[in-house]
Amino acid sequence: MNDAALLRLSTGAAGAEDTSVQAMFEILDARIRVISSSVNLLRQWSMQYAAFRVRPAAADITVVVGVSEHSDDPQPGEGAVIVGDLVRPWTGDEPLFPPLWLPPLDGWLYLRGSAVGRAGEAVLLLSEQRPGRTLLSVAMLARGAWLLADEIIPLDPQDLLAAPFPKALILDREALGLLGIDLAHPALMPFRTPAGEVEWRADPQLLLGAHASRVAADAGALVFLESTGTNGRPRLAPLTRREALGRLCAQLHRMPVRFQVGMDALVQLCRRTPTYTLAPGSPEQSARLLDEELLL
Amino acid sequence: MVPSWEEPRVWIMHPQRRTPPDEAPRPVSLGTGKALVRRPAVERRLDDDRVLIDVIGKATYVLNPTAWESWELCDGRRTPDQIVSELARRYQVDEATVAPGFLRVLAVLEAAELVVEADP
Repeated sequence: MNDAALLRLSTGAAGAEDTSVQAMFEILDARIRVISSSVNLLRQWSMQYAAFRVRPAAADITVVVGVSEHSDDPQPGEGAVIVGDLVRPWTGDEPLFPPLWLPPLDGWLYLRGSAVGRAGEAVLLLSEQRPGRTLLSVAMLARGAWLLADEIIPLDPQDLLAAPFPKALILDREALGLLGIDLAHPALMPFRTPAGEVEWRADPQLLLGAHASRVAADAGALVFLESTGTNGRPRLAPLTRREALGRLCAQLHRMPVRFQVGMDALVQLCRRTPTYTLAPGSPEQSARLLDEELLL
Repeated sequence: MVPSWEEPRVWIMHPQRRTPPDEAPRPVSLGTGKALVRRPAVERRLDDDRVLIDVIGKATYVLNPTAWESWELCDGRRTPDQIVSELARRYQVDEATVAPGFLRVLAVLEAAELVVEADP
């Protein structure tokens, strides 16, 4: 069966014969082929997940999208996923790409946050709020740390190692200033946010080079970022394991499919990892505090 | 040595959602005279607390030591009244001291169907 027929079969897309485009990704050892009738959508995903692009090969998962050419927001019924011989329509309950809800990707735990570190240990900065968290991560990079993941941190429930997840960074002028990166850097792709601001998207490896780690790391500390700062010096406060477990559960990106395995892993992580809250000061001050207290 | 009494507490740690235990309704088993029994759940230690992982209900609960003891006393033989009496005896405090906290914990565990009335 050719790809156009696959598109029609999976999504009911009409007239897909001449327009389908494809890309291959490898995410956490799962090979994913995307077949899309929308060039815009595939281009968007390819920019966000550029570091995951690989040469074509046999796929573990095939994502088929029959969205119209002018839309970059697939609706339920316009997508399907194929794992082995099984074709499943996409219901819209979880993002179509990357399909973290499908095996083998559903075997990981996903936390909302950033992972930055030194040597083989990472500090997991956990928070839903991207701008402040990314700025803090960037300030730590400026001090010589490396970045493992920003936005989603995959955690192996067996060995509790955090895996690299080099999704494209989204940086504003302040973040680029902290890193001392020229706005004309070839890795930067500007775009306008819905609020009209200009920000830049960048493949972490192209932008950061050796400071973008591709090696899994131990979680040396968990830091939950408070939303409000101290109007001055940043403050790091230890958490009880009970509090840490509650906060960790709240930062799960998605419910673990193997619930007991997932929760066991979180309990284990709380047992063996120091946990803190950070009431942030300026990004530079906060980064210095974390670096000196937890990494150096 | 008699352990010191601490108000029993249970914390619900549901991924993506946290329900304050205070929102749990009154225990349904109260006044029925029936014994309570706990449903199997995965149990883990976390410092002095214990963690109950409810695989069926897809939720996780952290119980402090007195809540844990309350849970363990739901053994299929004791009614709520008898559990309160037993806790009061073990900690050498009044039943009136034990009862309010125990009932709050029982309400949460019943709402989660981790504790049910035992079959006669």
